[in-house]
Amino acid sequence: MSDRRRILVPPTARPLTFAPAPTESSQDSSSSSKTEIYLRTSLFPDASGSAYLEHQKHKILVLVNGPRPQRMSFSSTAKLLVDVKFLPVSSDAHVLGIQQGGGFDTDLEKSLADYIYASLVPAIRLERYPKSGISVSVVVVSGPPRWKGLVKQVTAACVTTAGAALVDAGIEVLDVVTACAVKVSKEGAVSLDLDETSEDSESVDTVARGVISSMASRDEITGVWVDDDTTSESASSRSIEGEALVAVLKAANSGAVEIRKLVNAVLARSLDELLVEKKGKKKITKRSAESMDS
Amino acid sequence: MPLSLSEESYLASSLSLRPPCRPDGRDQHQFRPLDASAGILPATNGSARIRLCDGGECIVGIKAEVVESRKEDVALVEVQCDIAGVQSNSPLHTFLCTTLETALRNTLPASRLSIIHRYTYKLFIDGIILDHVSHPLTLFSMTVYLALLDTRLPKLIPSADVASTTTSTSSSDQPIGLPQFESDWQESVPLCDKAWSPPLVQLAVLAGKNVFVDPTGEEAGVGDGAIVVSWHQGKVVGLRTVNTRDSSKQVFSASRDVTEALTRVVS
Repeated sequence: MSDRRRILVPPTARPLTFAPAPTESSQDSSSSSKTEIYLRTSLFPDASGSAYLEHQKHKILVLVNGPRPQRMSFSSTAKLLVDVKFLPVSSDAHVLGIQQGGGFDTDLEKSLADYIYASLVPAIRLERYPKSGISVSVVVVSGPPRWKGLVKQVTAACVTTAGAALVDAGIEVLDVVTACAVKVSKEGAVSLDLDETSEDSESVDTVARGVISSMASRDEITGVWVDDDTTSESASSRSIEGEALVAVLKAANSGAVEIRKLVNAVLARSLDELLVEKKGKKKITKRSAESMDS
Repeated sequence: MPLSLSEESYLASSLSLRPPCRPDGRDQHQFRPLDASAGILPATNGSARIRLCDGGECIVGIKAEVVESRKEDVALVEVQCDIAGVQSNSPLHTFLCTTLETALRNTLPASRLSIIHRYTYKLFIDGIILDHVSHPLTLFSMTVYLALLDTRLPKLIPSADVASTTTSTSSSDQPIGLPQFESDWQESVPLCDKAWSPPLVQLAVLAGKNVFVDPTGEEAGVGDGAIVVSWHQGKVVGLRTVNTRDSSKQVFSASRDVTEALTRVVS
């Protein structure tokens, strides 16, 4: 008879221990601290898959649950659900939400979720999971101190983390989705938007910002979001058409390919860890079986 | 009524033909006929109504309010909409409102709404979509566009500001610096002129290598994906991919598909 009076802890719960100081292995290949990206997968044993990314001041956690059976209605493919949450402590995001007339779910959260959904859906083989649901929850633990102009950067980070978390959950995907943000300067030069901080984003040099999600090894783009990001004073904005758009897409795609290398390395390492862990477990079970015999 | 699997595949394959074949015989870049009227609500600063031939109808009213511009980044435009038959706070609401709001905020210079040093107008754009069969974004955006063109703001009496600062006699009955307006509505000034026109946001559906503007509900349902294009004074100022259905195969193998979408002309 199980104990029904108390809410039991999850079976895999462990006592709280503090991790040792980060070793060198946790810092991945990068030159300057501004462009440094830290990514880790399988942090939460309770979720089917999880990933955590740190880039500048953004700290993003993605939990993937599923595929879980859905009893309500029949569907021949899986349903993907994406929700984004900013923690109240994650910078001035709440201020932004209030300004846009949002309540608890801010409009920014919803439009981020919309874009992440649109970027992930083409990559997932939803037809392999009929009658089930896959939920992706993105938690922005910490964002930039000022959001103005940095939304695209955070979006890119969210998509990349979610892509890694989906793989960690063992969900069948066509390819890992990674994303990269770009900015277009007044002269029309396109550069990767990796190193910009809230202080830099105030400059009037940038006229447009965008983020591209792509499946690098298939060379396919799954999502585009380009906006004219000028402060409203300089209304003489550039058009993002034709050649300019192609330049933006190419630059962002090459950025996404670079980020893909990092994601690949992280995923490969987590796979190694998983294999080692499994071997260890087998040994333990063998040993316990032996001890039982004796 | 949802399409059956065979109907769906028939429509999908006829849309991805080159040249494509739309069920209503339209050209790829052709809009459906619509019925538009402006200035229908006398109690607003600007209003418009657009009816589509499929029964979609949208009414938009714009009210301008005088607010103190204390902070720099105070939002000067607020868009809200009500869709008949859809719960308020649904994703569709958020999508419509935020898309329009960002497009307007990015293109509308703050100087256009400022009155005198401390005061500025704030625009409240309220729409109601009475019926929609196809995706309401294009309809809503066109109605907002028309309503903004119709918007008139009362004329400022210039002397009020100057008089209160130079002579103190007029300040006994009026607080200093409060803007005074002409009471005659005939004197009002339009918000939009040759220097600035409002942005338009359009939904385009992709099917194979083809791009369709003003998609019907069925076309959006079978398309591989959709892009939202913001368009302002002859330029594309925003571009974003969205999903109009769940299991999308939407990918762009080359940038060609997207650039193709931009070559079309908004009627």
